[in-house]
Amino acid sequence: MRHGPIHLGSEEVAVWADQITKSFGAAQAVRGVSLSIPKGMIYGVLGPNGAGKTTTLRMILGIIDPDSGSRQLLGHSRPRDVANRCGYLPEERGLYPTMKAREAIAFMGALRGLGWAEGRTRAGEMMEAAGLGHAVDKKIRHLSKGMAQLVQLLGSIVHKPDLIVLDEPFSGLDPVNQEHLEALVRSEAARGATILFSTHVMSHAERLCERVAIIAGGLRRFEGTVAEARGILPIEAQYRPSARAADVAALLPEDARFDGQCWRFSLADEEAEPLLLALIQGGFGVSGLSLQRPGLHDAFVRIVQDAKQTDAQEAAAC
Amino acid sequence: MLSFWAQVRVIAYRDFKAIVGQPVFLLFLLAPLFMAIMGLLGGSGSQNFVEKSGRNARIGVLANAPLADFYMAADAQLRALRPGPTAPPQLTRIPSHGSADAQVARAMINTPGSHFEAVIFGPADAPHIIATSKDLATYVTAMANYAASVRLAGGQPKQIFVAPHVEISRKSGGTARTRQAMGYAAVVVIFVLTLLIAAQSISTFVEEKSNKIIEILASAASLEAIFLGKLVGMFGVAMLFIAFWSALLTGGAQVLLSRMAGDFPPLDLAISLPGFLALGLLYFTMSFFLFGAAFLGIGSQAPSARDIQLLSLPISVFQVSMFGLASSAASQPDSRLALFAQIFPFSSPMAMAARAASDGALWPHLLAILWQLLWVMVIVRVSARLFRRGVLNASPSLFTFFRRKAK
Repeated sequence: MRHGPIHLGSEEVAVWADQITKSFGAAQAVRGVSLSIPKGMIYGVLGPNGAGKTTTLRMILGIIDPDSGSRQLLGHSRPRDVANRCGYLPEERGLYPTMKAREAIAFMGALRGLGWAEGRTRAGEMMEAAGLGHAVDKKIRHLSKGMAQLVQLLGSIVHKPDLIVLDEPFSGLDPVNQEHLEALVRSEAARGATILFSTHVMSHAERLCERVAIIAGGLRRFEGTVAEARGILPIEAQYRPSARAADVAALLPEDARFDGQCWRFSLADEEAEPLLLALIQGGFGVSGLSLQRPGLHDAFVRIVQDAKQTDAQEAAAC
Repeated sequence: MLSFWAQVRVIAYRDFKAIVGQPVFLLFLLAPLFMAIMGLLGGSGSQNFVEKSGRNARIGVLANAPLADFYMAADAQLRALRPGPTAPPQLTRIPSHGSADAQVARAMINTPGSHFEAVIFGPADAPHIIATSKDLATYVTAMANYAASVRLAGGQPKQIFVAPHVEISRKSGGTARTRQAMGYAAVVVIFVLTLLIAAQSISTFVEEKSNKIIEILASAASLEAIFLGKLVGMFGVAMLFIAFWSALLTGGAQVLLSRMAGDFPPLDLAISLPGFLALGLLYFTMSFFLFGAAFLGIGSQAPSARDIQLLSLPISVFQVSMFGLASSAASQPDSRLALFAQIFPFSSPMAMAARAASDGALWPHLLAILWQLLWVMVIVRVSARLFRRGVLNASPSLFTFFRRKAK
């Protein structure tokens, strides 16, 4: 078991997990996930439904213990020791329906060591800032689903935690509230908090995350920046020569196909410039050229599909 | 991280406020009032029973003729003034035993099963009265005065007074009976309070589970703290309930005692009354936590409110059986059954409360409380583990196991 804060280069690590696994009966939910999240970073855990994201987050927070592997949270190997410095929004939202919104936020703060009075004061201020000032003394059961979700989110950050873990925070929110939430995540990160959130909606991850991990089938399949994730897929190119269109095939990659109007093919990042040069020097000219970099969504789909194939092959081999 | 007890406090405070803040809590608080009203309605039947049993009571006239005749005549005259339920017990003549009258009179009062509630004996101008209540003594005194006036006036009553020696005597064997009754009363009170309040803990986790709040609680606090917090919150409700009714009943009792000054039999317990009450409260606390923790643990395993409803019957049966066991212990304090009831964790608080009425030794109570405390800790821990295993880890709970078996 490791003790003391872990460093990644010069950066102190807020969340560290090494090959953590978890099984529920015969089902292996997490087969070995490693994460290393520097302090102050917005980090996304991406994965399809049932990939093991929630189980991974619950193990990191100490709600459940891993069967094997080790973890460290804010420099502590026992996550519960730093429960006061963490905020958590679970995937399955839950609030006491008969509690008033302000009390619900104060209660969640009190659970993390914030005084009730201070929690009530902060709750009022935060709700006002989030545009929920009118609902401060309303009971949870009288709030809309989106409003209740925001109340719960405010409850998870009312004590100004150093680490905020959000499990599918955007699900169930309308676009306006999604904007609110993104702004809130950014402001918490600007305050210095580390944000770790799971999602299967790539647009949020693309806009918010500095680094992402993609989990599929209980294993981490990718870890890096969003740009690195997008970089695993080649650039999609469309090229229309200005002359001798039929002769250009010899210069193009093997997968190039002519659709009657233009050539379509994929390119690695480093191949784009040499190809362009060769086409001009070869006298084919450029009547039209578009290079389309795939989004995180495409990278995610590819990684997950590859993971499924690999798992199927492994299962067949067994 | 918050300390364990700080976590317990936060959970307990929330639960307490949530329960007490509900309008329906008022109904819960006043539930004994409804029970009392029903009891009063049913009480008219039992009053008849008491009246019938009161007819067996007797006033003994330990004298020979003609003095005994004067007493009988005086009684006939005075009895007409006190008709109906206030009528004094019938007179029974017993020949005088001379100088042994005092001894005989006391035996008449104290013999177990004796129906004599008062006895008059001695010379006509200085009679001696032994009575079991002040009211009865007053009546027999009036009767002695009337008899004396008739006797001395030669048939025509004249205002002549004698000053009888009046002695209020409790029947022997009353102490044991009082203690036994007090022990039984303690068993009943603890059972009813536990039934009313602790049994509710079975459903307290349903709210957290159905609203998914448990995930938030479990991420911030240990499951043991959550369990104990919920129990302590419910215990706070119990204390409020007890304080409310104690205040009301104490006020009522004070009024009653001031009216019955001197006529209310003293509670001759093995320990002082405050000590008995304190032990009773302590044993209620233990009983509450024992049953409450067990019910909370079982309730946390139940996947739905329907399962909770199904569980209510076997749980009530279990509680009633523990009450039966403790009641038997109260009626046979020195039996092996009593010892078993005092040791068995779930009947122990009730049985030990009964024991407090008849046994002055304090060390068995200290031992019993430690023993019960140990069981509370064991049950809280086991329940929390079951909960963690069955709910948070999503592995099969006990209910799943039973369902599989049923299939």
